Amino acid sequence: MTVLVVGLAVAVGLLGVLVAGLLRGHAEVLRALHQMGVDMDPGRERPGHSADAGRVGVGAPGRAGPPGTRPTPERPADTDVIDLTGVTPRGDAISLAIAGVRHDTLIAFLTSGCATCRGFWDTFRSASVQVPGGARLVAVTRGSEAESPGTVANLAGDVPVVMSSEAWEHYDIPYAPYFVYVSGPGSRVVGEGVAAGWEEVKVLVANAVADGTTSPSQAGRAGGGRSGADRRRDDIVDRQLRSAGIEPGDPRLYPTSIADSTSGE
Amino acid sequence: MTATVSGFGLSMTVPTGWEAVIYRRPSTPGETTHPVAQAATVAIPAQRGDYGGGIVETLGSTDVFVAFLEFGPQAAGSALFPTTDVVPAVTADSYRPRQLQRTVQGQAGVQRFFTIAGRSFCLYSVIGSVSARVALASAANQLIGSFQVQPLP
Repeated sequence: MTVLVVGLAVAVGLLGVLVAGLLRGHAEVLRALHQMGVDMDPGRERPGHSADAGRVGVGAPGRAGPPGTRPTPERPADTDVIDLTGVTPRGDAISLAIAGVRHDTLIAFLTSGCATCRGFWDTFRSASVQVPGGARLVAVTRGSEAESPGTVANLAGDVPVVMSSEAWEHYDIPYAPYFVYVSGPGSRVVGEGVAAGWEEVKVLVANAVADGTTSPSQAGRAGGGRSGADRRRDDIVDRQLRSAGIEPGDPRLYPTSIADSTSGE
Repeated sequence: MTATVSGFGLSMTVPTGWEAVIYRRPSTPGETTHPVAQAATVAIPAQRGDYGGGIVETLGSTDVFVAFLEFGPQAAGSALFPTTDVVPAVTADSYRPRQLQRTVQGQAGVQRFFTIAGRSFCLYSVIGSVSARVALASAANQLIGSFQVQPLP
């Protein structure tokens, strides 16, 4: 009898240690997620926003679901892109073009308070930041009703900063830091998600660029598109036109009469 | 979709594909600075000059840069800054290759001086290709026509 009681006591003790270990591991996971800006409190979760919903790599559209779906379902169309209009931390009025332009834009939605964002601010401030593929990097914080312009000004480096709560609402940003990659020629969001560090963002964007995900031709052709041979032919023609000084939008590409089309010959 | 930027009693409606900023540089002791409004069909970098240094070098053959630089109240209504009721437009032929702060091959520029709502301005515009000046002047005028000035209090 004594042996049985002692055995049960030992078993209960071991189970207690096991449960304590599991709870500790769970707490560490929650703490790590909180430091990344992910709030797991179910009481604060917005409808349609689970923490896993945003878990898609920057520049990797559709990898968390069917092609064309977005991790933030309140903005259903990936072509629902607006320019970034607001103020700078110094109080200047600013509007940066995102859609219908030749360059792509990587938008970093950051706050001045979250620990993970601090790492990005430090990176943006420390050196000339290059985005793979040559996209323009823009940092966006909430407006002055939610952020201190002075604090943001001290964090900002040479990277353009727009303070705009409207942009946060329109792009339906679930938490910070959050990155949105917009194809300028395609006027389309081609990738978005969270990342813990700048190197991670660079790798994800570089992969997307290498995959052709960020190219305007791909952006404008969800669900298929031209063959590789056609794309290679397009690239050759583009290079030859550029070498002749003819850029996209050049009026010579759009003759209005036969006389126009032959006037340069 | 167009956006409107406003600050320092100035505003302009930004056409699709354009960028714009209205700013005033911090002044040093004894110095007075005035607002500057800039707009371009290319990306406006954080580091740039009031007359578009850092921007105009990136203009392609279909691009336009427009700036409104305010001068002090002492200039308002002077001979160089005649008073007008509307912001003066530009014409295609008013763009000249030599009217640039810094001559850039193929580009052309234009300057206009005026006083409106008691405030004096220099309008400075650069186009990326003098041969496409008709279309580019029209694009510039779309932006210029939206420029609004409020009187200083």
